[in-house]
Amino acid sequence: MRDPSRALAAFYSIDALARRHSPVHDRHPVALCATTAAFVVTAASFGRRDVSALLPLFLYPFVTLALSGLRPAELLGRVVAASPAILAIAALSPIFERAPVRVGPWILASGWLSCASIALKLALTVSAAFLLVATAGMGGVARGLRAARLPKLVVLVFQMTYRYVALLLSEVSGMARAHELRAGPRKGVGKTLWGPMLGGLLLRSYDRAGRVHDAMAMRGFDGEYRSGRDGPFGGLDAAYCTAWSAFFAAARFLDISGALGRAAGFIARGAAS
Amino acid sequence: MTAYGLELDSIVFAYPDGERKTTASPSGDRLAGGGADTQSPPVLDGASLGVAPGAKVGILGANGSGKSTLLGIIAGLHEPRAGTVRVGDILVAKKTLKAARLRLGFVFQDPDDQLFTGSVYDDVAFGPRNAGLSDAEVRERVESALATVGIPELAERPPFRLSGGEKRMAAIATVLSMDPGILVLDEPSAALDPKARRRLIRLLSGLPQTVVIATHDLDLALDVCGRAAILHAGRVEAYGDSRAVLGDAALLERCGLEPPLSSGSCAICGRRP
Repeated sequence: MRDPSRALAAFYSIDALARRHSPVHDRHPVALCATTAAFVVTAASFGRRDVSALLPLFLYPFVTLALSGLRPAELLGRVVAASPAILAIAALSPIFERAPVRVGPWILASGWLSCASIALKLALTVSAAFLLVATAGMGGVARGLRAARLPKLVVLVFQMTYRYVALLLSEVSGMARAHELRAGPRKGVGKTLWGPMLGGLLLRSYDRAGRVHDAMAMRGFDGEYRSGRDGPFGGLDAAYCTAWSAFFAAARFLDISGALGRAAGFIARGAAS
Repeated sequence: MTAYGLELDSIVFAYPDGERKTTASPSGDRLAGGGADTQSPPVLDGASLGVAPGAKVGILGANGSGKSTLLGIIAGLHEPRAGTVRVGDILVAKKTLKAARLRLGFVFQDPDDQLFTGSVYDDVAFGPRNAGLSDAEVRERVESALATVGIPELAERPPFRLSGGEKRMAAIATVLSMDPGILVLDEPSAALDPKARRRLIRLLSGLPQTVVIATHDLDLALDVCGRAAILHAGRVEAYGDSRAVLGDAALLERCGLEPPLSSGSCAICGRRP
């Protein structure tokens, strides 16, 4: 069993990433949320067999990664973690879509194109979501949701759920350690203990959540979680948002991959002659 | 910062589930009124206490004597069945709770309940942000609070990575940043090593606020508090100068306490302090 305290550390590491400073981190969270939303909508709007047309969109995660100073491994780790789900969804396409299509010199079942397109779209959106949380932080995401006019209560539930996961992991960590130290040679939790342990976990985490809420109320919490990233939306923020939106529109409505391919062919032919 | 006084008058409180938190039962069936928990024995049964502005008072008592419950009532976390609490000139009630809590800093028994964000900085900034202070003011408050408790270098650390002593100091900083007039601490020296405990004693002794400490650590009470109150059987059994109260061996024995270590004779030379 994976040590829950490591999961807790990984959980909090996202908060640590969001506290850095970079040209991306320093943008207003609303600009980051709006850009991510535009990116996700653009990626999702491509046809189900578009593959090459999606490729220019990879510029966004690459540039964001470079500007934000995040390590590629930090992003790849998350994409790899999500990959079983991504592949499970994408792998169904070749089973149901068997019509043949020509791809260059090969003839394939059209389902393989759908499979590649779904996998690319999911990888792009998972990357964008991670980059958003790692640069704006969960507080920034909540700020973006509020700017999108989502009700205060919905945003609060979102933030509290995020915090509750941390609290739950910390309780799981304590219970798992207590069990492991008295479990002897047995591996894992026996079926007879599942009920009591889950019930105990629920009650413990409920009690703890109550105490945490008391601590918040004692410090003036009124239902609005203030993350401290509430500065004004400046010119740079607008420029960041506009530039990326323009690129996404270009990637969606212009055939950038085709143009690049034709240009490369032209250059290659010129070099050969 | 204005130090406020505190006035508790004839407090009666019983937990709704009727769970008895004390070991010695007072006359629980004397309560008037209806409700399912009418017969539940009260944890506090007429406790009264007055604390002058700027005073440091230790609330002492055996396990289950109602110390934490009393602090919860002061902070408005529990509503007494009878009796009143005044924080300065504010009578604590539902309508005045927010104003009363602005004057009150409550440090929980378990610092993990108080540290719920991803960094010490965010936790210490939580109260000032809720008070609507500007980013510059919040930063100033946070830096000042962390400097007061001696952990400015831990600002960016995630709280779950801190040692017990560091967590305790961070928890105190989270309330100091709100500039409270009264500081209420529940078992502040629990699980601290001697050096961290000594540091805590120095810190608490030097604070200008009114300080109320519920503790089993009678030596800490002796070092920090000019006055001490002993809770027993739901009432304040004794209240007065710390040295006089803690020097009364018969009283301590009757209330299930042992004399502070510092009042005993030296184990090596046999001399008394």
